[in-house]
Amino acid sequence: MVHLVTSDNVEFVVEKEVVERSVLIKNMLEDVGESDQSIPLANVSSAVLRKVIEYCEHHRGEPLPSGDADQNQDETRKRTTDISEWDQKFITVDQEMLFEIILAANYLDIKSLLDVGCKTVANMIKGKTPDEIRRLFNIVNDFTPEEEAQIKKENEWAEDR
Amino acid sequence: MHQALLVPEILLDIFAHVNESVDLPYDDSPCERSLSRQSLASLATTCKAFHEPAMDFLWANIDELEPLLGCVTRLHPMIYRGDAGPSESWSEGVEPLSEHEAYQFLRHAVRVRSIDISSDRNFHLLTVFPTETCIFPRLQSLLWQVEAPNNMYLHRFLSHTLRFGYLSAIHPALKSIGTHCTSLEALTIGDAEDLRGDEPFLLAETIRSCTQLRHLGCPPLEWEAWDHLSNLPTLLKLEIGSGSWPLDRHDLTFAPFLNVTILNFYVQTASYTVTALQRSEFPSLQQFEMHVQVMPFAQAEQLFCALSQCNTCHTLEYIVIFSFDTDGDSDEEPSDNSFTAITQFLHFTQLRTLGLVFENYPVYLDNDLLLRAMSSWPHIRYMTLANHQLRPPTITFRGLFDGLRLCPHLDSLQLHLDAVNIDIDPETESFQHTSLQKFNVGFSNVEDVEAATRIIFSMLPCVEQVRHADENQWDKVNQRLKYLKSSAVLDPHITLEPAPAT
Repeated sequence: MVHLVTSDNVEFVVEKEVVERSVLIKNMLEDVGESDQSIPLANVSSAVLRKVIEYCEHHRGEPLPSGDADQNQDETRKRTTDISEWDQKFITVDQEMLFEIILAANYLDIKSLLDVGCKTVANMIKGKTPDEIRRLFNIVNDFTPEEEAQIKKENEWAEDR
Repeated sequence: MHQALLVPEILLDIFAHVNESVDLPYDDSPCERSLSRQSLASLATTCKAFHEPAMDFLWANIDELEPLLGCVTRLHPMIYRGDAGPSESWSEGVEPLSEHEAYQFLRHAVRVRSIDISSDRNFHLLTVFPTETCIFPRLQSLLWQVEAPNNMYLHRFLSHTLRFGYLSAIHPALKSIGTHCTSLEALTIGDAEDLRGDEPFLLAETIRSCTQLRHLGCPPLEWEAWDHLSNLPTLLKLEIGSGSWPLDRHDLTFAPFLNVTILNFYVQTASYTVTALQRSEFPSLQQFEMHVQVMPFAQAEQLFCALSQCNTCHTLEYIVIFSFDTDGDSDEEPSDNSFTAITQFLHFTQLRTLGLVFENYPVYLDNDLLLRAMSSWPHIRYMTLANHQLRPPTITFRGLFDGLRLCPHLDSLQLHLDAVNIDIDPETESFQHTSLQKFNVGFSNVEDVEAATRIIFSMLPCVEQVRHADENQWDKVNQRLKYLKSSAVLDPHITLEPAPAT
């Protein structure tokens, strides 16, 4: 079993096979060997880690993407445009939690979870205007009107005509 | 804005998913491509943090030069004057770019990774750029379907980062493609059926200038270019298209294509292929495919012989040969046992796929030869032997099942079957072949529908329908088979009762 301590000081005891879906933790365990010492996860809160562990438990035993085949991984990612039913249900959370999961997946190096999160955000973006995207993610428009007009002009070919 | 959207690798991952349908073929998903492009354009305008990564994705794949020309202030209103997009002739009579406008044109050219050029209608605007200067410094993929003489603009697209090139014609500019494009991995030169004048030599020089190719598709090559290719350790896939340029038969050197795994020919006649195989070795070859318009019987025999002697017996997994000789040029009718494709291929012990489709002569196969073949090819999954209607079938049900016992992985089978003479009783046989799902009997005849159905129902449980060419008795077999299978679902202990009258 592996002991993980979150940023809000909550300890989780997780099976090694489950937690090793995180490449970061897997590498740590390989480096330090068997140990009862807790691994501090300063960037992950307990609420987020609970969700991450739920994901890792569900996907336990599935092959991890290999690190030496970036091109193939990209191909696979492009083909798997759909999110599985379970993953879709799992990632149906409020926007704050969605981005926290993405941050945690990126930090812990869990590629498949990062993909699920990023695909979900991508699906939220598709078909929206700049204003709609700004409202959706609470983004401030830091372009001047002239800059914005220039960009729209250059990208006019990409608009549906 | 959540801090996750400020992490560059996360932003790139999200945008890559927004972009993913842009990489799909246009015909498959025009709406998705369009939606992805619009969404990326929106992202580029959302805020400064999104601008650069969104623009990089958006401009990575473009068709034609209009998107870049649209960045030139003078040209923008000409290109986007109507809702229907630019007319084909918008640039007729328009002055070339000035030096200042060249900067506007180039502003996003650096982002372009893949471009399809099918028209030269705007090339006259680009005279401001020196002929030998590449204007796409990060281009990786070029599809070039421009006819000569405007191929002179080709240099402007030959980036040293280019990895994939498709060019519809041969031109002097191609000669140095290997020098300009040191990263070139895949080159296809298509639509050049009849090489004229010095084109064969230009093609040869083009090929000789490439030293990193992994995949080449081109018209037939002369011997020196063939020899150069044969010593290219990077080369994995070679596709030879139509053309009539002969290999020099007098050169006795063997060409060793050490790492080539896929070899395809799409040719008018088989002579080039035969010579190429006779003069070469392919010790790593896994796939051989050939589509030939005219292949007389004698030449087919030469081809099989040459292929069988190519030092590929431990690697070759895939042989597919189509001959479309619909004019019936094959005067020499083979005797029943003289067409030796199967015999020649028996030593390909790794064979998974065998497809032999000839319009004018059958591939000879009888019960004994099928048994030998199947014992030689224990990994076979797909076998098609067509077209056999010219000869009476020589495989019986008995021979078929004796063969099937030896190839448990066979999933798809097409052959000419003597289903008139029933020589097997399914009730005395315990054998079932549980992998075969696609069973095609071509032009085979059947008389005893009930007996044939019982055999297939009992011994080929995964075959739902027998595919056939034109014998309507097989439709009756399929109807009866369907009835038996639906009854078996309801009652697994079904006995083979006669079909109800319909």
